[in-house]
Amino acid sequence: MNNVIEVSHLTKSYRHTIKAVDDLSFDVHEGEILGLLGPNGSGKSTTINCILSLLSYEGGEIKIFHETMRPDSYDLKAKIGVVFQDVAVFEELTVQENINYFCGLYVNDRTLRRQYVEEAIQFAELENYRKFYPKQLSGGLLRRLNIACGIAHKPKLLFADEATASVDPQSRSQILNSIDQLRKQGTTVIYTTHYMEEVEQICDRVLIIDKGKKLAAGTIDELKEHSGIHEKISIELRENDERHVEELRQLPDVLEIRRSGAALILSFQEGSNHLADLMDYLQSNHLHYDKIYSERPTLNDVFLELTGKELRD
Amino acid sequence: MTVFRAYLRILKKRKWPVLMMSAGLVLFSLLSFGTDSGTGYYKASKPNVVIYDHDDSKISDGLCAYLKKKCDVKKIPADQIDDALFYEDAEYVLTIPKGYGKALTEGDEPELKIRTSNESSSLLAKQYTHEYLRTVKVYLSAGNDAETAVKETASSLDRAASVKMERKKKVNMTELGKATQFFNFENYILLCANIYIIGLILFSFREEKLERRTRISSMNFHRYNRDLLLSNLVVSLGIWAVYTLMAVLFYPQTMATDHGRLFMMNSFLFNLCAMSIGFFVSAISKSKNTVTALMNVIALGLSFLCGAFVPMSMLPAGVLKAAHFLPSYWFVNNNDLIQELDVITGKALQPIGQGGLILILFAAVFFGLSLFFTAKKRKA
Amino acid sequence: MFAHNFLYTLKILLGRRSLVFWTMAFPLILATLFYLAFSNFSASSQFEPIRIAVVRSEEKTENSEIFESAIATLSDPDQETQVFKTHYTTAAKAKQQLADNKIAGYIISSDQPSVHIKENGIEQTILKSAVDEILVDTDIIQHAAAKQIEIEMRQGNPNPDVQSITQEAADAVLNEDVKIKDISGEHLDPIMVEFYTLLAMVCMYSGTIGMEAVSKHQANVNAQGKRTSITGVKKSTLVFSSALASWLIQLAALTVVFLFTYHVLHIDYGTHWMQVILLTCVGSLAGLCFGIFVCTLPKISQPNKDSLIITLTMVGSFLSGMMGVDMKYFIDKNMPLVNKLNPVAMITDGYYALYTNIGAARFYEDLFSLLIFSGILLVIAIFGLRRQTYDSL
Repeated sequence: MNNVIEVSHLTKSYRHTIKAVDDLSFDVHEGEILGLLGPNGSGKSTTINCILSLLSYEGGEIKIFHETMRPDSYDLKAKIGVVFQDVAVFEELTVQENINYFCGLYVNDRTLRRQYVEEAIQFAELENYRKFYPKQLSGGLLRRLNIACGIAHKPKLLFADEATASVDPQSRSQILNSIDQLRKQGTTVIYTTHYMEEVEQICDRVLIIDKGKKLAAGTIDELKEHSGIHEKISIELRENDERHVEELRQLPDVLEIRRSGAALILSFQEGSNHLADLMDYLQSNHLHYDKIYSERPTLNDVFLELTGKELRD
Repeated sequence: MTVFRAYLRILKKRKWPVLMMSAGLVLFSLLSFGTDSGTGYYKASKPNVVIYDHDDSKISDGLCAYLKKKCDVKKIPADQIDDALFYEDAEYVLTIPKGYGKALTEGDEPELKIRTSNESSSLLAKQYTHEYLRTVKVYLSAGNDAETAVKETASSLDRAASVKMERKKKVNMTELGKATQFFNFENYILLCANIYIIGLILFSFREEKLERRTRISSMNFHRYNRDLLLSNLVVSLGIWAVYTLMAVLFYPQTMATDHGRLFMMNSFLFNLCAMSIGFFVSAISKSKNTVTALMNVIALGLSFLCGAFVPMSMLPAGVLKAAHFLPSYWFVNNNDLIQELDVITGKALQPIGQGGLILILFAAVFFGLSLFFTAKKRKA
Repeated sequence: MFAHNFLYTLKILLGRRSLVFWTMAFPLILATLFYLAFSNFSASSQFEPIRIAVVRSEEKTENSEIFESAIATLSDPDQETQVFKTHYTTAAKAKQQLADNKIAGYIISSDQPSVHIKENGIEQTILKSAVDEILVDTDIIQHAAAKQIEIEMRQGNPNPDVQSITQEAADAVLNEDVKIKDISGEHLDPIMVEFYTLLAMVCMYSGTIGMEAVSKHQANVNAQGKRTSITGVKKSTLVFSSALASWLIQLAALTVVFLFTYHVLHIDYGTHWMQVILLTCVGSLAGLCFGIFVCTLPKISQPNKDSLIITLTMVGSFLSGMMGVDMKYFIDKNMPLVNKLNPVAMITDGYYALYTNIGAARFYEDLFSLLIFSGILLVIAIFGLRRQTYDSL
């Protein structure tokens, strides 16, 4: 497996007290989409900025394409594209001019650049908006422009830092498809997001960090296995009694019970026939319910288990 | 209090620009008025004279002694004299050639060479030179020797009329003059400080998203505006207080008199006007660049056109007429009137009072305009 | 990459309408205001007759008659030597006119005239000295006449014609002339320095455009800066090309200002046009480098950087004589090091040296000082930018 990024024991503190990244080590394999997950303030953006040599760090080593990354590693930077969380375009330039400008900082050849710009416009589906200024674009279109500026020069490595923030579902779907397409074209992607569904949709592997430390890394299935949750069953009981909750907690293989609105959600570790056993129990104890269903654990469950909070907190 | 606290927080966040601007303005005041040289176009009543005496005779010594009595004789090296003349540090440069006294005694008509900065200021010095040498020549023609001629000349030139200063109240005229200049210069200072500081802070408050959030809050908008105005008033008064304190420190004698109190009141009213101009500028500006550019144009423009930097007597008549429509004119005019005041009577105070009322009117107009433009921006 | 970034920076800066407008409009507005304020300056430095009042003597004596006659001569509007605009009135009215500032002072004529004034200005000084001169002349004439009478009596004339002798003595005294030659040549106008400080201030304000151009390559300032910081283009290439674009815009603005002040306001820049152009380019460069330097200062927020440029330029302009040309002279004379480090003063002094023809050495000293100033700041800025990572973004 060829590693595109190798991060070893990265440590970064702010004002010498707040440890934003704490002895973080991970690799990114060539051609994969790595999802970088963590709650707010976990150190995701700091990690990315350190990798890009935008931020100084106290300890550790960062290699990209097997070379140490430094602020003046211009050859390495030429292979990297970034889609920042903040829209990074010029208000004074049109859509086409913005893409052309940023592409031109990587591609000197005019003919080639023209081709790349055209492809980027089509990639981002901005054909009808070439002459528009950023002020005239909606949030979704602006994000697509942001992406187009980041990928126009066909980078080998792409950092997408919350590329779909504040974007309508249609645009989001389009953006995800585009990123998936990039991966198929051979680009390695590091993808940061708050939307678990996105990670599940496009990421090959996931790295979960919190308070600057690595909590877990692996494929989604590996993480789900790692969490220990095998099955989740939701019940909406008619009688809302705490005694019932305590009784249910005593059932075999139950890892935890929590409330979600009117429903009780029981998490089971590996075992068999949890649903059947539970239904039997409810019937035998005359506990009436309106709804009951079973599902596989989601990445959100994994996340919650590892960090103790919802990703959107 | 919420608005005021927010105002102070923004002021604190902007403290470095505010402190830098204030330091700059204090430096201007200190340099201009803490030294003897002063700035502006004040002309001393004693011309600045430089003498190069290559003769060293009784007549040249007598001339030098006479000029020393009537003028400010300075020692400036010859290689610096061009600059001195250009900047009128030397207004009259006299070179007495070797043998001048002897030639004069022998009845010849030797020539003295002078260099002057411009016509009016060197006129006096030329007159003194002419007067002395003509008198010496008269006494020489009457058959006297050089020494006697010089002695008789000195005696004749001692004749002088008695001078009566018709001021009922005794004041330190020099300090009063300098205090007037200081307060005239304050026109620039107060405009800069008010427009820059208030303009910047109000700009933060009027940021679109922030203003929308304020408008949909439960706070009464009129109350919000009132609190904002009061916050501005506090800051503006702070600015005024700093410069008034400086005046008290530099010119204690003047500030303890009626003149000082009138200067303070006049500058207080002008400060209100400057504050309202600050409001107005923030209301019409679309960017911080605009606030800065307008600050420079307004502060410098009003100062030059209304007699703060250039004395009113030197401004063209047309400009002076147009300046009546500018608030700074009334502020500076009031300062000049205060300087000339002798006894405080109702009649003497009337023009000053009128000027003060006009300043209040200007403040109201600018404030009204700023409300109009703010409301217009909101509706757009 | 250089040309690409240069062209796009031009486009971006020209798209910032408010910036461009004020870059052009600001110096034009100020120049016009200065022109309006100073247009009467040369005229006003020519002498205007002083308004006075004279209270005629109640007792007519020889001396008082001589005195009043002399005052009348000095008040004659047909004479080139008119010093006063005189009217005759009573003591009480004259006192009131003085209090009402209608006259600079008044004289009570008598054997011993007295001058009444309210303040010590140039007009009052001229009034006093003119009156003293009349008294002095009277004294000299009387001395000369007395001596002549003594001579005649010694020569055997017991009844000399006193009136005739006095008249002759008066003629001799008043017609006695002294040869004084003013070799000043054409008087240069110190007000030109005001316009030079304005140009110098505009040159330094080009720092703000330079800052706008360079800040788009600073990751800690905006998102565009982040994006350009991680491209494969050397920082120096980006910064130089952006700086060149902003310099070009500033030079265009300065050209407009020059044409306006020269053709419309008739400001005199002297005759050395090539040097004037050279100085303007170098002055603008100094402002640009100053802006780039400030832009790269760490741990200062963007609004504070703007304020730094504005405040330092204002202080520099003040020390160069913008609010009173005497200040430049005062600083040059007493604290020369201050203006040797003040780029606004260097530019102003350069224009001054060209205008007054004071010598090429002074001009070139100012020019090289500006180049050194620019070079030092630029080197520090580039050096800092090149390997710049931030502690936080």
